[in-house]
Amino acid sequence: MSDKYVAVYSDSTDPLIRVLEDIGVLALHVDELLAHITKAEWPILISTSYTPAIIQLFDRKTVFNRVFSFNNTEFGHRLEEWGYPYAWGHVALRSLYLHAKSLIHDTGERGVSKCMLPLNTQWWAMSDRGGFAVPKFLYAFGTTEPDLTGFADPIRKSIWSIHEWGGEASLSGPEGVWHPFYVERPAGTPVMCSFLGSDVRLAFPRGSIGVPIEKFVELARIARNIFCSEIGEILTFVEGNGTIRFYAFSPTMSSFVDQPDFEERLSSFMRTEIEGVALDSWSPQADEKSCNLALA
Amino acid sequence: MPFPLPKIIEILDCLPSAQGLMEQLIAARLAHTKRDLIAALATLPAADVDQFQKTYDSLDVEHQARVLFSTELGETLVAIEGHGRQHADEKLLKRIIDISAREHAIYEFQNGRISTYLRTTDAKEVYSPLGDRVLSRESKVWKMRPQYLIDDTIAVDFDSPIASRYEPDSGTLSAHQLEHTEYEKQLVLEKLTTTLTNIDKASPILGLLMRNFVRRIIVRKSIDSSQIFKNLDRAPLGSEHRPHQPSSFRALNIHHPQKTIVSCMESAFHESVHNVLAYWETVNGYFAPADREVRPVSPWTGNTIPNHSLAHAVFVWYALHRLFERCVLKEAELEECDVGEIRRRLATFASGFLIQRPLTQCFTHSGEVNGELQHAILSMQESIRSFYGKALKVA
Repeated sequence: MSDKYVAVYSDSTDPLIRVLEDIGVLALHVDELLAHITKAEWPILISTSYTPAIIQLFDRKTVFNRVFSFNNTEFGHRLEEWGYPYAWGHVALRSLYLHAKSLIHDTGERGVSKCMLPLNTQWWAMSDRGGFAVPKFLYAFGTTEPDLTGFADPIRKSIWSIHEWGGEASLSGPEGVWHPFYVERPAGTPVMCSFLGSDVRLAFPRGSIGVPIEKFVELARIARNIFCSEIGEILTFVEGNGTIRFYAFSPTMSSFVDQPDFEERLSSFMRTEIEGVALDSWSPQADEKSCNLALA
Repeated sequence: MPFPLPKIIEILDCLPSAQGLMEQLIAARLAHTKRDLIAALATLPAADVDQFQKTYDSLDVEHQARVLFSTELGETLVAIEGHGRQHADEKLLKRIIDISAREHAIYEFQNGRISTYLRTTDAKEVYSPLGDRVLSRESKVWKMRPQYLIDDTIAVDFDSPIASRYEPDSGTLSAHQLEHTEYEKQLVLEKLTTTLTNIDKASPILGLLMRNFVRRIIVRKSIDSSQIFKNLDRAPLGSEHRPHQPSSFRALNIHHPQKTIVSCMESAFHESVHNVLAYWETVNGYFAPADREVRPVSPWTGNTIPNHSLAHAVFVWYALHRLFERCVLKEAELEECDVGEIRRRLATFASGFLIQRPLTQCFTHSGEVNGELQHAILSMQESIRSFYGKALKVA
């Protein structure tokens, strides 16, 4: 697999990296690339001197770019020492990715990368662009507590809290003070959906129910485009009347990597011809709706 | 005369057309304000209109312009428009009469006369609606109180009724207000004077921009100088512009030792550009919806901001980049500036333009981003990306 793929990651606990390494993909932590990146005088700012050996590892490969945050990395500390925003770290990585064929995920910081949008934006995109049912929510502005009449059972959350749905979130820092965010508590049966390209599988955290698989295939297809990721997992709740309500997309795959057949699924996906996210998606002519991913 | 959006970029790029374009924008705004004022007055009883005209028509052209450009008149007309003119609160409409009367009172005082307003008011202070002049009464005698001005043009407002407001959704005016000492006021004045001097040295056109579009800086103190922050991101040193208060902006804790001159330059110019954009929008309509339920994440700050604010942000960060590029060229002449800080801030100004995608794809509202706005955003992004071309390729 290492002749076609390479992985770059920032979180040592990323569950997908372990599986990729098990199937023979070379995975580099971002800190391993730090030796090739130096601070430069403005207007260069960051100078990259990737060796032929490093470039060879990426040449015409598809990259599992799992750099979702520079927090708690030496790379991130270095950027902070230099006084540069983390966005410059992605600039440095993209100059290496230019040698590759394509990426598995969109790049960028949280909220900028399409694979790491906040919850309210995910819901807007999936309802406005995808036509899917999404939760009722309220995202206030400032410090004024919003009017929650019209909610049956609101829970306060962070717009970034993709995985916690049990109850009231204890919010610290600015989110505890500014812009309160409330969501209608999920009702119905949770159904997780994972996709690896066009391969869609479901999981039932609280007991299985009969669901129309074709609806989830369509959900995954749209999510793949909107969130610019060849792989991902989606949380939905299926309500009593059969409504499938989209709750969250995440690129982490944490709900599926430990399934017994996941490694085989991933290997099978990686043996197909993956289109991936284009590296030159900066072009103003890039069609944002297609996200440069082939629609299966 | 139409003022296409790309013309704003010509001003920010300091092209030869810049000064003429600024004058054109100001003239268009002035005409728009006059129309709004006439429309608001049309809803008042004839006696009230007469009362307004008695004071306004007595002013010379310069002082009438002072009324028209003032933050106070601007926010009053915005509020009236918000209610719908036919349903506007009577207090708001009467406020227009009061605004003209106060400017007239100060104008008369400066010419050695005491107006009816000064003879009959119970107020102890009478502020010009522009905020740069104030009369105060001591033992029944009116005196012109010295106001704090930068370059005799921009008022630094510490404690007028406007500066003392509490606004719960404001990043600056929600902060508890502490009183500046006289020493701190002088320090603020010096820092802002140095700020404008440095901007002038970097670019006379951009210094002119600040003078033309900002007439009042509201300064709020919420922390003492002794409170030092290890993490500057947590320090309350920010600034903000509110569209309902034209020709002004608010700033927190300018007196604080950790608010550097470079930071003052950034804040002042940042908010000045917001004022330019607000002038344009008053005449031409808003760039984008200001819906707050779904807000894009700013590629520069990571904060969620309305689509309208993101549109503004692209212009502001572009403008700051253009200013600070010029600061690098003139850094030997700038006062009290850390050149390292200027370069680090340039890295931040550039960062949002260097994301993988066109910035137009960051917006979160249905339908396409307005064509003219889209073109302007993409042209600014392309301009900054070209500037950093080397950084985006393998060395």
